[in-house]
Amino acid sequence: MLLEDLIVLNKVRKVYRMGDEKIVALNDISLSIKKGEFVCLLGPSGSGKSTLLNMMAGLEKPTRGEIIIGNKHIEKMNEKQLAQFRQLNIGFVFQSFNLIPTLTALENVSLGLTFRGIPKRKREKMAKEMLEAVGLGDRLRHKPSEMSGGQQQRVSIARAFVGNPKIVFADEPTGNLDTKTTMEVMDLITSMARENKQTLVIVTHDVEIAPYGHRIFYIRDGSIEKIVENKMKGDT
Amino acid sequence: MNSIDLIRMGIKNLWRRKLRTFLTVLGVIIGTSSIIVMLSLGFGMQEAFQNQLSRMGSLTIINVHRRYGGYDGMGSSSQEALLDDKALAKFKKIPHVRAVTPIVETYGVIINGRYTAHTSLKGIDPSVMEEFDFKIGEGRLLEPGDDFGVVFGGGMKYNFYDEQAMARGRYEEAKVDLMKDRMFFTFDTSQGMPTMPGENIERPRYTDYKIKTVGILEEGNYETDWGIYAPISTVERMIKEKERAEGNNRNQRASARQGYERVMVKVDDIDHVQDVQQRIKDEGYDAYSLNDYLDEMKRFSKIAQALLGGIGAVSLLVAAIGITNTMVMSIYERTKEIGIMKVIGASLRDIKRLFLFESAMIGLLGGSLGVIFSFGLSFAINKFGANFGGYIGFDGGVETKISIIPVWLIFAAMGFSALIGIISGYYPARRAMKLSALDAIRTE
Repeated sequence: MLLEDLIVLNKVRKVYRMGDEKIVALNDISLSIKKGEFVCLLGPSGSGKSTLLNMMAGLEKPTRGEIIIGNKHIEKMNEKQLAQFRQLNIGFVFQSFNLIPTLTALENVSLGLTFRGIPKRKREKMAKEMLEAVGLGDRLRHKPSEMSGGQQQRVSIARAFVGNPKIVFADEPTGNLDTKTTMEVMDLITSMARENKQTLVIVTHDVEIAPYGHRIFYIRDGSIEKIVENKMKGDT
Repeated sequence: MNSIDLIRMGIKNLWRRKLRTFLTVLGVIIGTSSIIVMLSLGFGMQEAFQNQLSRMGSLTIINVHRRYGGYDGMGSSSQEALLDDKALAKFKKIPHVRAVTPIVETYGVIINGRYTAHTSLKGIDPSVMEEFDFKIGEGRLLEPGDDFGVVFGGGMKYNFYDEQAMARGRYEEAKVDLMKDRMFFTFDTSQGMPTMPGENIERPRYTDYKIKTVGILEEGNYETDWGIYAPISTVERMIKEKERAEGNNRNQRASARQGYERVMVKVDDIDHVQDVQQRIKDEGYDAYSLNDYLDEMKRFSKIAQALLGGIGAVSLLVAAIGITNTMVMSIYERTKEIGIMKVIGASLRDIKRLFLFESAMIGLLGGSLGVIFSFGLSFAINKFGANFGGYIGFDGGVETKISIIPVWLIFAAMGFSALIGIISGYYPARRAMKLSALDAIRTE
């Protein structure tokens, strides 16, 4: 079933300038991720894995190379096109949740839909269903500060999935959570992605999480060290 | 992002920081109302001028005189057009001229029992009297065929006094009823004066004309208050008889009578007065109207208004800077929020519109409240300033407002303050738009 390449990176290079020094964050990385695939980018901090994720999400531009998502060249898009692209195709889960503190759970989840121009009643219905799906049906009117870390991350997951994006990027989604919650959150993300046949890209330094992916990319010093097929995960 | 959501979100953001929003709005209120009140003083001044002018006479009447070429120093080439019936006919043909009448004027005394009044006697075409804005207070205006029927100026009743009593040092108010009393007019200005002992000057033998009052004009118009009006044919006949009695050189007089001394021209609308006046001047006559003063006054009040408005504008400028400051502060606070919004799909336009809307709201809110506040202020100025107005010489007779706010100014002020808000918010909005989503989301 995994046939179509959804994300293709071709010799992507990213160089940061720090004063006179050049830091090579990504060193000619080429990879492809298939539609519906779960991928883990595993590596220590500073390995360039987050940069790689930001490139794929169009948040950063590569110094060189091509990033093609669904036949579209991300690296050639302008800010306006990128915003629209993200709006329709991409969901995000962050390590630090990145919820807007003044908004309730329901409002946070429906915010992305607001930018798509979906009317209030419809988007709140969608947000409510999504929050119920992540088990927060009784926390709709709570502000982030009134919820635990695990709950906040679940709100953020609901926000990432509510627009039914093609790809969900998760950047250290469990970095701020304890072990028990980590497993709950990971189960939630993967089961939701599986349900909607979405592609999932997870960045982590936690080897415990790695087995959630079909494939694990080991990143070190801006290069892919090795790619491991996860036999245990199989084809669920 | 649709507009309803934009408005909802913008208002929510403003409400979230009530105090700061309020203080910024307060700045705009002060700015807007200072402009409005300052301008309203200018409008009040203009209105007061106009009121005063209209009491000096009608603004649509042009007075035409003969031009005496010799005085202008330009030599004999300048025209010296005659102000005769031909000229009158010519004036009538000028577009926008509604009526024309010559005015013949002479002086004499009215005798009413023991009271006398020195007055000018003006001859006018009875058929056009109404056209020339004569406002009747009692009785009626002149009509053709009135002959010795006269109309009194509104202030004439104060002109009668008892000369015998005055000579004895007593003054009393004259008890006259102009509508009913029997009066006559004479050119003999020594009439009623006590004869000096030993005086032996031979006085001309003037005729006494019985006059019949048909009406009294409304009081309060400087131009028509003093003097009496009679049909022009009557007055011309009286002048002839006067000259005969005085035995003046007929030839000299005859040349002067080749034309009228003065002609009044009524124009249909104030906007055309200038044109008509210029055309009459081009024909070689001297022409003036109250419009000349009005222009002068308009220019003056424009300058005054620009000055006053300028003072108000300074405070609005300060308020505009306040808006910019508030919005920039707000961006600093909301950097992360802007980043999140961008990452989850807000377009650049959405971000820009959101910030512009918020600053426009501050402007509009301040402008609207400023208008309300100005009305209060204007009311207070008119109420308590009226006494002050009395001191500085405004006539108490007519209700003259010191501060006037025209309707258009209300909308202009609100629109302008919203515009100021948008302009002030433009820089912050661009800044918010250009924030890098990634950097923004990383700020704590």
